[in-house]
Amino acid sequence: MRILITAASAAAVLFTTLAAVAADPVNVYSYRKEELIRPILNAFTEETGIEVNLITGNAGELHQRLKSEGKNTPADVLVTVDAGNLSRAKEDGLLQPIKSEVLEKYIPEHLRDPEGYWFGLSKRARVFVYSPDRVDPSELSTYFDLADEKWRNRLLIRSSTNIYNQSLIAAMISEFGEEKTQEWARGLVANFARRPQGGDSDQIHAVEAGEGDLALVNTYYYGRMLASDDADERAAAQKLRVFFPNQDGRGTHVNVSGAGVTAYAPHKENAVKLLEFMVGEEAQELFANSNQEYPARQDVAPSKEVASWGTFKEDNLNLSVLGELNKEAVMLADRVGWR
Amino acid sequence: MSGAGLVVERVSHRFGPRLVLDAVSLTVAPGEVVCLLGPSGSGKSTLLRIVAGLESLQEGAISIGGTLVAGPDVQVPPERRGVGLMFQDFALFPHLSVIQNVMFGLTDLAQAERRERAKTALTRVAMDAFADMYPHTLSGGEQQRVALARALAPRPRVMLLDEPFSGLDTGTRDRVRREAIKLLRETGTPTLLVTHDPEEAMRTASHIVLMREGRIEQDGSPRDLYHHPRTAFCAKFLGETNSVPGIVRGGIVETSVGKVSANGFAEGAAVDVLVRPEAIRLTATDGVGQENEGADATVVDLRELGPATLMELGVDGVERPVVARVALTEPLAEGSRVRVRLDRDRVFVFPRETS
Amino acid sequence: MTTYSVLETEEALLPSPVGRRRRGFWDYVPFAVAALVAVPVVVVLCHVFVPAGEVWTHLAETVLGRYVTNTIWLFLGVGIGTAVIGVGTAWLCSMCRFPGRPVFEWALLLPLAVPTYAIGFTYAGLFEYAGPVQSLLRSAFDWGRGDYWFPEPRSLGGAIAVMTLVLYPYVYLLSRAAFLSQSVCVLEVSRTLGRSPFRSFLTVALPLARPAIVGGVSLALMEALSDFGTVHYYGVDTFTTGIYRTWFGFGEPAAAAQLAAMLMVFVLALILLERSSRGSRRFHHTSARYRQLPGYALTGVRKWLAVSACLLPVLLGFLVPFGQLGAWTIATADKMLDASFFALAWNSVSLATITAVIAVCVALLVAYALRLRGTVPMRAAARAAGLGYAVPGSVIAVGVLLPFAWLDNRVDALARDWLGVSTGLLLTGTILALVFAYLVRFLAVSLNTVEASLGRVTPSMDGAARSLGASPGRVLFRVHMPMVAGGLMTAGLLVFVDVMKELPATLIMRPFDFNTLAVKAYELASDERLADSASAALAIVVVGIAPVVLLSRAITRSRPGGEGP
Repeated sequence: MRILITAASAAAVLFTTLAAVAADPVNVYSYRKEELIRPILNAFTEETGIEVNLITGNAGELHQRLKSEGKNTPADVLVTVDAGNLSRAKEDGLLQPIKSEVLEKYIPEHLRDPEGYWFGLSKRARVFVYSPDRVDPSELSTYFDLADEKWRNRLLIRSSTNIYNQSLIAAMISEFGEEKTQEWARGLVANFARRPQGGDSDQIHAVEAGEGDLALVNTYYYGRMLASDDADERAAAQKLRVFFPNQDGRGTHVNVSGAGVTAYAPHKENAVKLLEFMVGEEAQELFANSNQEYPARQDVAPSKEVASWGTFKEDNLNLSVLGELNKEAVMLADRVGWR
Repeated sequence: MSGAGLVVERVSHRFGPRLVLDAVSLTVAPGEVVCLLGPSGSGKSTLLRIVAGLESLQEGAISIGGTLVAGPDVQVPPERRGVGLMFQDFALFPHLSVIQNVMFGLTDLAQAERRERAKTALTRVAMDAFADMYPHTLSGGEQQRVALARALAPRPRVMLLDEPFSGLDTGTRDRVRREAIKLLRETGTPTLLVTHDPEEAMRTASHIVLMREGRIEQDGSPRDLYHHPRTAFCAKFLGETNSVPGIVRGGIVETSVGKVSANGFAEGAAVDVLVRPEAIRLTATDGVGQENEGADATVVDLRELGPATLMELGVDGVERPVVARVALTEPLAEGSRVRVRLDRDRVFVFPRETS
Repeated sequence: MTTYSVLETEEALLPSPVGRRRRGFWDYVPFAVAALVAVPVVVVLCHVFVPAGEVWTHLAETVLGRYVTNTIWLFLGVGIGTAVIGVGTAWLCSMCRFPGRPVFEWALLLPLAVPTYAIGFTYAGLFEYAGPVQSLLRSAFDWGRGDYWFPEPRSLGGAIAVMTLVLYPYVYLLSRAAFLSQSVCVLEVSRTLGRSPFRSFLTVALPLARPAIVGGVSLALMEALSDFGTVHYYGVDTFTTGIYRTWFGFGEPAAAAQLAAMLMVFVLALILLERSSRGSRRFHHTSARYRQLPGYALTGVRKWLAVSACLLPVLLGFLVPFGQLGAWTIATADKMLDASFFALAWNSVSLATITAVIAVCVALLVAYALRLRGTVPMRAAARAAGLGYAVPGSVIAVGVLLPFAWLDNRVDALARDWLGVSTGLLLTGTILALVFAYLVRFLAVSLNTVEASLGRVTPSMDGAARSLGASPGRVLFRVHMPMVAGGLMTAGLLVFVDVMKELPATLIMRPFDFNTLAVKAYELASDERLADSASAALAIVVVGIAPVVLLSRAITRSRPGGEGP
């Protein structure tokens, strides 16, 4: 039996990627897709000489992996595409608090965890993309207004299994309370132009084709269409307009792609370095230009497509609330039949 | 020929360039069992399949019960020919019980009536007690009887059997065969049976059609074929023979075993004399010479077969040992010297085969 | 082909034990291997005992009904769809002659190489309201929204259609093999007993191929039930989307695993139900004689009907998505095709090859042990090991992850206590763990196939070889393996193609900086960059085509007594 264990260990060591064992890299678990994070990590390696090893995956599964690996996890940094998953990781004890002047200086307070467990790195707003032919901009006001009967059969939005919608519902709950939010959601569902299906881009295309008049989507999907290589895509996008809701109230709902240092990070120092690098100007510009997001830093400009929509007032709700209300939000969606 | 029964007229068939049937005609009357006999590759199974409609007819005509089922511009599919078919391995449906197997062919009747008919058919073959069992639980003989009942239940106008008994062991084979043939005769169903076994053919058939390379070599009663073969092939195929070469001299063939009448062969012709084992008679060696009849031989090997004794004789002047089947009156031992003579009725003379 | 075919012959195989038989390799090793592969399934099932009351009340009150209804419709739709297309085309290609048949023989398998989500995206894109087809109709007839009816592609019906198109080849594959191995004698007898070719097909050939058809349909159904990507994108709530939502949305692993367990029990119950309904019927060949298959030459209308029946699944299940992927690939080639792309392809192909070889070996080991000693624990372990196929990929991946991480952490703790060193994670995050995860997911595929081929080797072969002094292992190597080589190849190729397409387990189990074609295609597609994802998806299809064609040839050759007509 001992021989077996020795042999198995030897084989396993052999299989473990050498890079992960070699001295002082930084290991990243990312829910953000490789295409959208690798350029930033490469820039980091170039500047610091620190190798970055990456695994990307879906939030739920990667969370589970981090959790079950426990104290022995090789991961140093967890990157997510929304605040909800970061605060869930915090709740499950997968992150550790970080004190960093750099991070605190550049990242606005509402975009990071009050205790320093995680930090938002780039922002996206959940906005209305509408057809100016069929929607008079004067009709547009708030998220809450979308439950009004005048929108019957005109709204396009994806499934509530998607985290962005769950976060939006959570934000609504924090503003209006559960009962009123449920009423709102019920009205919203009644106004759907079709059963929720596809992704955010599909909703935008459907508005363009006339299947509905207004889509509730994240900004970067529309930004990408505007900046597309494909002339047809650009032409289609140019027929539509963006509206930032809640400008007279709390402001437009925003979410972040953010990161935190794992609770048992073997290379904590490098992990903090990476986080600090990611709020640097170079990285922030990469966030802005590779994926049409808003940089977390106020002093770095967004891409020209995104900038063309003008500035807007954003909801300053601390994003850690989204994680706390996530489960409630999903159950609420189930109750009102938002698939 | 009209009326009931099976009539095959000048059927020819090719597989690609190969001619496997060459203008074959035959007739099976009601109550008659005709045996299609021949070595493998002689075309007998193909003919059976053409009759059943499993192979499309290319040339000739086939009628069953007085109706043309295959001919120029006519091609009745097998399911509407009213033929019963039995294979060597019985081909029972393993997913159906015995009674369901028999009911399978009784499509046009009400359920109750189908069951009744199937029961009757099973009773006839004494298999009614096994109605609800599945085929794999039956012995070979039992499966054979079920297959027979299944084929007979729809009252086919002609019955086709493709080596139906060769899958059985010798013990059961004879009994099952006897019962099956009796049943077929009783029902009056014209039956065409394919076999490569001449003994089976002689035991079952009222008429044998011997096939060779797609042609009918000879047909007639079993007795006819055995005793009056018109070709060496027929003589050899229907039973064991010893082949002894000879030359015709003055209307007589002289062989090392004895003289045989030349049967009209020309003077000086080279012939083969085919001798059935039972055509060899033994005479005493020391007796007064009966003219110049016979030859001297030594017993090389000897086996008792109950009523007869089979022996191999080394005949002086003949290369290969000669096989003889004789009823011995007194025991002989290997190595004994004997004198042999031929029974001229069971000796056939054919032109020498150039090998 | 059936999961249980071997059990039918085991009585005949088991020698009555005289005295005490020494227990050895075949008593322990296969059981241990099967049990090991079954561990993740058991881990998932164990969550059943964790109370999750509140969530259940919520689920039952709100969405469970819809999950169940949709899942049942999906189950029926895909089941009937794959059976009709798979069996129908298999029959036509085995028994009839019509133009193009030699091509259809293998072309009908091609959709097997296409990842379901690739077909899903293609058709949603083509037929959605904003897609080219409807846009064209609107501009041609000057219609607006609501002026005309058009089937909604992203719907339950759409999901059923898409899955049927990808999954019917399982049924085609297995039923074609069954038709080819059937004795023609029973069909001919049926003809002479007054049944037309079609009725003979219905009453004889079809029932005889039942184990194979059931085997193929159950593979297709298991895959349909565990699919997440397509149903999610199509907005159809099934058990599987519910499991995801409950696990990753609510953060309730226990309730999610309980849903998964319900799904497994459902699958198991159906398998057992089908099994018991067979009663004492048998489906073995009763004949040892093989004649050329009839090869009915079809003419006139029938000929063209047959051609379209075979062409349509190939066209919709392969050519259209292949064309779409190809067009996208060409459009994005300079951006997407670089050196790293070939590294991805290499990773995918080597993983698929390694897994295929191991899966066949394990399947052979387990199937042969079942044949030798079909004890109750052995059978239970084998069945549990095969259930991984019916569980959504992510769930079973977590089921693999948990025991590995647990083991690693235990070993680490022990090493710290005794030796003062940390061993870290020895297995988690290694290729080893990943291959094991694949094995858990796809053992059912190889086991089904290998068991079925072993079942066709008559038990007297074992007897003959054993009496000649060969050990069980030697019998396996010298007698069975050569005889079932075709079946082993089929099993290996199926696993290969499945691993090429596999996603959830790869995503969660892979080592750092290790990507495959499927991961690449998925990441881009889920980021709604369909055109960019096409090159990776196309590569999966292209790599899958060769095995699929080989597969078809292996089957044609497998017919006893030589090639078909």
